[in-house]
Amino acid sequence: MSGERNYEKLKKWLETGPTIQELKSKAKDLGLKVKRMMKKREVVKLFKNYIKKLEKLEKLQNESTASSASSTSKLSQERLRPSGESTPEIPQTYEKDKLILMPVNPNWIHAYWDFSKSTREILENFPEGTRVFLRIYDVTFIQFNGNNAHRTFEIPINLNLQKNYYFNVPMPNADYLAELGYVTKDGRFVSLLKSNVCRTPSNSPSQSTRERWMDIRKKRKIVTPSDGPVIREVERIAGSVFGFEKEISKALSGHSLDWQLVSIFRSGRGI
Amino acid sequence: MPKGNIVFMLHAHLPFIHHPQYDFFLEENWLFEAITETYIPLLRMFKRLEEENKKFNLTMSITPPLMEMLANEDLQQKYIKRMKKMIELAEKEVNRTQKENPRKHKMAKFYYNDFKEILYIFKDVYGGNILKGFKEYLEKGYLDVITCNATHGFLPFMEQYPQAIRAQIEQGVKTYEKHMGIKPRGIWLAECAYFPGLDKYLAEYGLEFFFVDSHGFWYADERPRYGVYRPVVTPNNVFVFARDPESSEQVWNADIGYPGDGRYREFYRDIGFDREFEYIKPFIDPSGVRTNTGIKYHKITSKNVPLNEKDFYDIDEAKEAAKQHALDFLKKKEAQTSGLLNLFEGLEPVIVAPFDAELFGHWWYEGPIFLEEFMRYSSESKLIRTIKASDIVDKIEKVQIVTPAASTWGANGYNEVWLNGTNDWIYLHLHEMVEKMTEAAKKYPSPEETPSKIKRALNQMARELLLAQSSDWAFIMTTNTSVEYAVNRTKTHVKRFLELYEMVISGKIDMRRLSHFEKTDDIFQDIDYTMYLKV
Repeated sequence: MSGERNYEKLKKWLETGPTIQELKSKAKDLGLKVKRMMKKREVVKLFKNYIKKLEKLEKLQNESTASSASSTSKLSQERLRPSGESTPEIPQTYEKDKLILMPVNPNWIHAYWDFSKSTREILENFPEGTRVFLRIYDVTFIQFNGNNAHRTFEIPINLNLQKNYYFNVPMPNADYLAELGYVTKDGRFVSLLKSNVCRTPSNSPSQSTRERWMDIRKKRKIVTPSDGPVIREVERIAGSVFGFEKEISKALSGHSLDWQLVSIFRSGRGI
Repeated sequence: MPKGNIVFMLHAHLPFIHHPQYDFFLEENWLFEAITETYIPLLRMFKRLEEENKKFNLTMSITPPLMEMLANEDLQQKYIKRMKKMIELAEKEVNRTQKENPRKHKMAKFYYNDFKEILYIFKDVYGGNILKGFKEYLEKGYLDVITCNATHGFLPFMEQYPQAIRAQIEQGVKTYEKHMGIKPRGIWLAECAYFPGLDKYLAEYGLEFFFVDSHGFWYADERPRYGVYRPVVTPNNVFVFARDPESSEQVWNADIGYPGDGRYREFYRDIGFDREFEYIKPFIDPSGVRTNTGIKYHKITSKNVPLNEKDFYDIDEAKEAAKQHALDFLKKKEAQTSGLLNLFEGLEPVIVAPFDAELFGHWWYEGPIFLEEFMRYSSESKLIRTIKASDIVDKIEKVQIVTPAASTWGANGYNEVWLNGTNDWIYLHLHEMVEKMTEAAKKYPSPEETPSKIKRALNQMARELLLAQSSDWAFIMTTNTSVEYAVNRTKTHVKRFLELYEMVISGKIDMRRLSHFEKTDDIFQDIDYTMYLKV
């Protein structure tokens, strides 16, 4: 999105007279410093100043003479697509029953689902008020038979609003399995979809007390008790999965170098 | 005397971007900038060191899409055209800057000569295909080129589809062989993304080693005795090297890292943006959008100086800085080695320093000079030596057996860069495409008996699927730059794939559409859809 389109849109939105809650939530999205005690008038002012800043930036870019290289050259790099290339439409569903779990990090799992026509029919014909749940089972080291999970968690899902879900799980290095289903009038959980097994990544050193070695020349395996590593690592503590937007706006505000952006998100591991 | 082994590992990668229907396409410049600023400067560095008889050892992954682009004649012609334009611009700058600051004039003359030399190397030395250069130094033993999975797809998100993982690896091996003439010994896994079990597939394709991030070792099933400073081998007999966190920090860190030094070139002051529009118009995007030209006159100066107040850049001053930093890095590696040698009671440590190749030159303009100077210094060091990963594999006598932990080199070390609210929508499609690809391939299990039209459609389906899987699209969506292009690319490949799938299932092949897709997404001419039968 170009800077111009952004502030024009924002201007129009302000004119529609949003509520104080809407204003504050939008301000937060934009990274504006909104305080809890601020009055509506003050928040609006915050927006107006922000819009002014964007207008000024754009002016600077349009001048673009030798002296006006602005810190937002990034924005002006955006441009229109060559004609004739519009974003193609792709399906919203493939009409297959599917519940897929994917590991995000040691404590988060992402689930998405899709339904066949027949399942969708069942869902559409539910009596009003039927509640749909996502059940998460800890199935580490077990063959799941429907009711032998170590732990079972449940999250209500609104299928009209949600196509996927991120959920927090207690154990890294553990196997999780999910079922999507509904609760009958008499309180029974009926499973409609069952997922793959998803293992969360580990985030702590192993408790194992052995070492296995391979003598390559003699082609021999050796198993010995471990005295622990000779060298003690200094582990890095991961930030929050929700910190991204802040990181991006920080990196993009004025002084970013693209390699810093790369270093934050990719090969630099958030350095 | 035992020494510290430094494995410099450069990961050269760009997503496959080729739009043959346009004379100029903004995103194709990513490749052109990388050729001018990273790949050719690396080749020049190899040549200089070789001529000086300096020992140097480097491991490099050149990914299959990058190889395919570098070998693509249309892109080669476009690059030559672009460079001729840039030389013309540099010449104009030489004249124009006579009346401006002398430091600008000095740099204008520098760029003019540099661009001419780069084009000469590209066109006359390597006949348009600089892969020949990398192959040359591979054969001479200075360089170890390894492969990567086919389109840099994020393998942990294919875990439930073995055929998708096999296709990524198989095509990666095949493309490497096609361009390098030999089989690859090692692989760089896209985004350094590993999960326990992946090594089994690598072993199937004869790959001997790969790399993981530090925590892949720290949280492994059994603790590696020497931490990240010795490779391990997985139960499937594949060697694994882990990244040294210190080396990364020294180079990458936004505050203390070398690339932030005030004497280095400022990335965001480019005459593509600084010169008046009428003058620069013929050298930027024809639609009038300003683009980088590679002619930059300013230095970082200080991080606290706004872009419009940056001081002028001087190449000699910057070279001096790169030299100082190379020496500093050498000292740090030597000190690190001494410490490790003590702890290890004389066993040689292996310090692995992996980076994006494009950091050197493209992002950090003086990076190749730093690397060259580092190679020069280290060739005379009594404490360290540079070494290729494959040499370690050949030499090692005793190795610990370990299964590394699931890990990536993304922010926070796991998968969230490639799976979050900005990009999670793509996986429904990517997974479905694998299922449909497999289903269609099963209908025609023997390619010899498959009608040629159907075979072509199936092969093109495989190309569209692989292109859609490129982890770059999800990454770009996360970083919030060029998002439109990444979304468009993902959706375009999904759409083309589905169209081809309908053709194959119905048996009615629209040859005009098929030919159009083959021409537009022209990667992997040797692709074989039956790899999706390997479930």
